[in-house]
Amino acid sequence: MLNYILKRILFSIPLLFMIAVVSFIIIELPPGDYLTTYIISLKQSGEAIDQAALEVLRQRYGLDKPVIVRFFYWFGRVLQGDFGYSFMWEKPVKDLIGARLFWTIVVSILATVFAWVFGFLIGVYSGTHQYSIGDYTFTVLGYIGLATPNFLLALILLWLVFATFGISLGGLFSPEYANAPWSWAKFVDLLKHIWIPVIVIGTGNMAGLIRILRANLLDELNKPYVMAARAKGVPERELVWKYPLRVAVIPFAATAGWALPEIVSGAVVTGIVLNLPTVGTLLLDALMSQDMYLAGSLVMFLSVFTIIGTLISDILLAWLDPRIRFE
Amino acid sequence: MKVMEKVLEIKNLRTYFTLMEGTVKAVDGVSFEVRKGEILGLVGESGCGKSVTAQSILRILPENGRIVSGEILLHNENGVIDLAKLELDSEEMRQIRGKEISMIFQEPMASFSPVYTVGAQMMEAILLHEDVSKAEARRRVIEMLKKVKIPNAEKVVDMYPFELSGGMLQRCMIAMAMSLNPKVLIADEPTTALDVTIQAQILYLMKELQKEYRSSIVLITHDMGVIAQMADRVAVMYLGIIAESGDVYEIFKNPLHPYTRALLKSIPKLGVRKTRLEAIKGVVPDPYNFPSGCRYHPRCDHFMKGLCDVKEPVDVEVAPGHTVKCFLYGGERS
Repeated sequence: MLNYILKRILFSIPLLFMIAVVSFIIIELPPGDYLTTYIISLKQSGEAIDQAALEVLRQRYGLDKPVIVRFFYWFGRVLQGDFGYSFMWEKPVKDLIGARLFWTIVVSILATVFAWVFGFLIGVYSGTHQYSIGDYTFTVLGYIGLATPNFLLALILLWLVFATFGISLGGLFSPEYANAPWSWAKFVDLLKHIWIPVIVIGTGNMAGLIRILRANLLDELNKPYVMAARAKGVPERELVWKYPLRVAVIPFAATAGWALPEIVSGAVVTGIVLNLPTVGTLLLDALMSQDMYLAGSLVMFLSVFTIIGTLISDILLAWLDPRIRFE
Repeated sequence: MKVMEKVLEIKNLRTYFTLMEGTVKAVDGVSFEVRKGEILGLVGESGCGKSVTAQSILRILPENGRIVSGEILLHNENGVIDLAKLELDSEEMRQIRGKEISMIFQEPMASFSPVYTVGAQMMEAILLHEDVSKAEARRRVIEMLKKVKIPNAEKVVDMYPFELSGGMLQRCMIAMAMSLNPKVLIADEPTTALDVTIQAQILYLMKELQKEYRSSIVLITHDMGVIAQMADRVAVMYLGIIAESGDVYEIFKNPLHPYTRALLKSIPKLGVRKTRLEAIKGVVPDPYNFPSGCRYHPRCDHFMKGLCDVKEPVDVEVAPGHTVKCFLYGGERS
């Protein structure tokens, strides 16, 4: 098992490097470089162009060097935690991403936990009570959940809360707490807000998980090993949890790793509707304004998350399924 | 012929399946008995209700199957228990499963859960029925594995099913089934999924263990060869009923029911030159709609119009212990 984990981690190192290459290509793709864009924006605003300052910047980003050299230059700085400069926000990319990354992770972990806990419970119920009223109810709700776009669900929830309680729950904090230092009241305020994005982002996943678990469980329930276990006298209640479910949860774990990158890429519209301080909205802005250092860094983070997520999934899978562990 | 002690008695068992398309009468009035220390062969083609009979005895039928009527009488120290009357998941029924009556299945590869070690699954059977420590259960599992001639038993106990071959797993399955010294072992096509060479080893092993433990075996198979090699008595099943039953020598020497004869004729023999294998004509009828009268009449060589397709034959005892359901030998309700 330890060997397997070590191997998987080692394998992800070349992958990470390749992602850095692709991210750099994305940064380099637009014609001209960051400075040309900068000069244009300076010209547009009618400011004087300080050639000396430009030269400093050019040196700093190594823009006078060939592409390969520039890549390693950039890569070296990324490794030190310097992701370049966002000209749109006129701030280092690092400062822009930090807090948003934190909230992204918080919201996505909560949404994943929500989706998993309820997806698991409902999936087990539906699988063991096939064609019961409860199963049908969850199936219908699940399909509605899958079919409803997240942003629409977000709007409906916001409207419902506003219509019944007369308060707006957009964002993660009420205005008065947004920039306030951490306190108990701020935490309570966060709790009041965060359930909406958690539900909105979680339901889609949850509906999918219910279907997956239900189908798997139904498949496993009829396997000969279940009958064999029953034949040796395993009590019915224990049987489902110990035998078919143990195999049916394996695909569950396989999807665990997707949650992190999904919230960044998939929840952009939801993020905008709910005014969430997550990286999804930032990525959209960066792409639209060709803020390439920011966009490139975000794409890189997204990919790194995907790799980390997949790594977590793989480790979980190996832990759950000996057939994978031994290969 | 000396009368041996009965261990298990099936009386007029009927097990039906309710499906969307209708009701399947998988077992439709089956009676037989299993005597102490004997091997009873239950033989018949696919879909004749052999496995369903086995699953009915242990009460592990799929959800849509139910015992409609009949008795399943288990004779033990405390007297006679009718398993057909017990609650499916009752403590009493659970204590019989695996301990008094155990079962081995057709596909050893699929009959072990892929995610637990073979040893863990074997230990579970012991721990469910006996108040022993895990270490003791493990010791016994290893001992049983050695008994079924598994090399490196100490290692195999910690292996997962996918690391073992089908033959090895079937040995493990037999070891598990015998570990609690059951009165009756039901072997549902135990060698069908295995290589012919492995088949012989497994059968030999079963017979050896059966002698040592003095348990009875219900051997379910479609292979007359296996029956000849293993069984003391035979019951031939056709479409949910027992067509003929009797002592194994009697059945092979003097088969009476046309179905039994056809089955025996369809075994290829060494040294006999034949261009074609003799198969039973026709196909197994639609399970939702059995033929009227004798169920075998559409495929029978001795079909008598106006009798076989109208009336259902009853058991006729042609010799002590040898019964047959056929109008050729009487069989009309008297």
